[in-house]
Amino acid sequence: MQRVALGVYLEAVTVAKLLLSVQGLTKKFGGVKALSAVGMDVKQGSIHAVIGPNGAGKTTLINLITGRQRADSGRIWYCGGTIDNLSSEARARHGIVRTFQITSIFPSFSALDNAVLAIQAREGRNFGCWSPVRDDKGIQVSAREYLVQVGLGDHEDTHAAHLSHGQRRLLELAMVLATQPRLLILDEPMAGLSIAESKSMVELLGALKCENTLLMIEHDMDVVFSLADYVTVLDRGVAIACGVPEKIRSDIAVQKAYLGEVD
Amino acid sequence: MDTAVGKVVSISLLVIFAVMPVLAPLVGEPYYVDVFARIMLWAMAALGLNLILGFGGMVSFGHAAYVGVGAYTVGILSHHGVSSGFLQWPLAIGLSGIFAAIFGAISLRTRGIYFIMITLAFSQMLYFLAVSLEQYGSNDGLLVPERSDFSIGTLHAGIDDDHAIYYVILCILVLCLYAKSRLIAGRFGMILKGIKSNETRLQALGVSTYRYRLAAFTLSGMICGLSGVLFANFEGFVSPDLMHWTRSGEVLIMVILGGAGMLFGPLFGATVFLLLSEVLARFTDYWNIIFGPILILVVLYAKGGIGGLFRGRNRG
Repeated sequence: MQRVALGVYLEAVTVAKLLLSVQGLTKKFGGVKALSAVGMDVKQGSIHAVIGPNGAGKTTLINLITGRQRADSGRIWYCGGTIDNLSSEARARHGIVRTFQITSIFPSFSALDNAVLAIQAREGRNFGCWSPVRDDKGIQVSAREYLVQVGLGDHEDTHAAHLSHGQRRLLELAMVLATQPRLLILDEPMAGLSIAESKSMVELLGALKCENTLLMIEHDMDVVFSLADYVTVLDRGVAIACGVPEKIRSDIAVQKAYLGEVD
Repeated sequence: MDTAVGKVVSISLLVIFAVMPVLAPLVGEPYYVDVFARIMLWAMAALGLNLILGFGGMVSFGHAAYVGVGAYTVGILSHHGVSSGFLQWPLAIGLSGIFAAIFGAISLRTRGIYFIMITLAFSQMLYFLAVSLEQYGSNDGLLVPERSDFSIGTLHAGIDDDHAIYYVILCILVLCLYAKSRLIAGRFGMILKGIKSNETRLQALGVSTYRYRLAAFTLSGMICGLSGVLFANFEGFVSPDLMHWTRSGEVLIMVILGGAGMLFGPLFGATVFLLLSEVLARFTDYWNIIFGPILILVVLYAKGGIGGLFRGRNRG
């Protein structure tokens, strides 16, 4: 019975080119159900947005996918296999890499060294004690490229702690890109950005779409509807709607739970 | 990494160490040769601790234990007539490494104050083990009858001469400093600094940090073990006092005083700590009353320790 279901599932995965699929994810914190039986499919090469009011369980969902927290029940499929038993570090090495809602960088490093460390994380073999990383042309050049990609090319020697909030968000994105992720997870990439900054962030993310798969939590509806191919709506831990942006916009349940306040 | 001024001061300090055996008798204070040798020995232990504290952010309160393991290995082997340095040194450093690896594997599962307490507990275990070794002198300690012998066949090579051991210590200290400067600039050093800066970020990038922390902890234990080997040779005597918890505390203070996370920090720290206590002890028996507040003032007002004074203002 189970085997048949698995076969059907794997077929579905191959046909739809799913990169990530979560099924029946449930997570409780004490008596509070943060997520109940949430299902979601992320297609290869798409931008998938997760929206919902505060406390809907969006960040919890990401924490479960990246392995920062463990689900009480449910399964996570990634690249055709389950990753439920993998540590968060192992998931990252398999290409599930995230940014944080509160920007997480190495503040005592230069911007360039932040990117260098991300490349080191991807490459492994980090017990080298004798050759200075500064003399490693390959890693330095490639780190610089990632900084240029996000528009921080002029700031490579700047201490990360001295970067502006927007620049730090870009730096974190550069680091995540430097790990060459297969599934890039962004937790509110626009939070705290100025209008100009978020405009260039939208362009940047749009450009990433060709080569990457993005899963992002975002509050800014304009951004969501301009960038996302698919949207999942969470409300009080339940996925109440899922589909293309136009469908979500017209969904009555969504309007009631979320957009209704606006209209 | 350090500024030009810092470099000049560091090199001058090493030069002073190098000329001390000649200089001290000239000014009528031959005793200072011993003081400076001890400074170098503690500086080496502090250098070991600085590797994990200064660069990896792990505050171990039990590193004197590994100095003790190194010293006791040499002492006990020598007591039984095994004086070959080729046997003593690798065995002593290896044993320190094994103890550090075992203690580290357990301690590193904890954080913050728990880590400090558990490293202290392990070092106390070794301290009381040494006290209980009646065969090897318990509290009174153990005489090391002869220094390590490095003769090969008929070619005699030893460190019996007092100047010889002084310069052996100096050379090994300089080698350790050089090796560490390479290490902290290398891939492993980058990871260590990354752990101190933001471990969560590093893990989220896919680095299993535990193994790197454990490797650093083990390596730092081995450096302390090496310092212990030299202690036993230099003093000709080992005792449990070497691994008393106050010793661990002193090494910790040296690192913080000198500037945690700076290459020459431990050397500054050990020099100021030991010279100051030496000088103050000449004035009064109650020198600790003056010494304590000075330490507190340095920690409070000289952020980054003595080494921090030579560092550019733009560094975080």
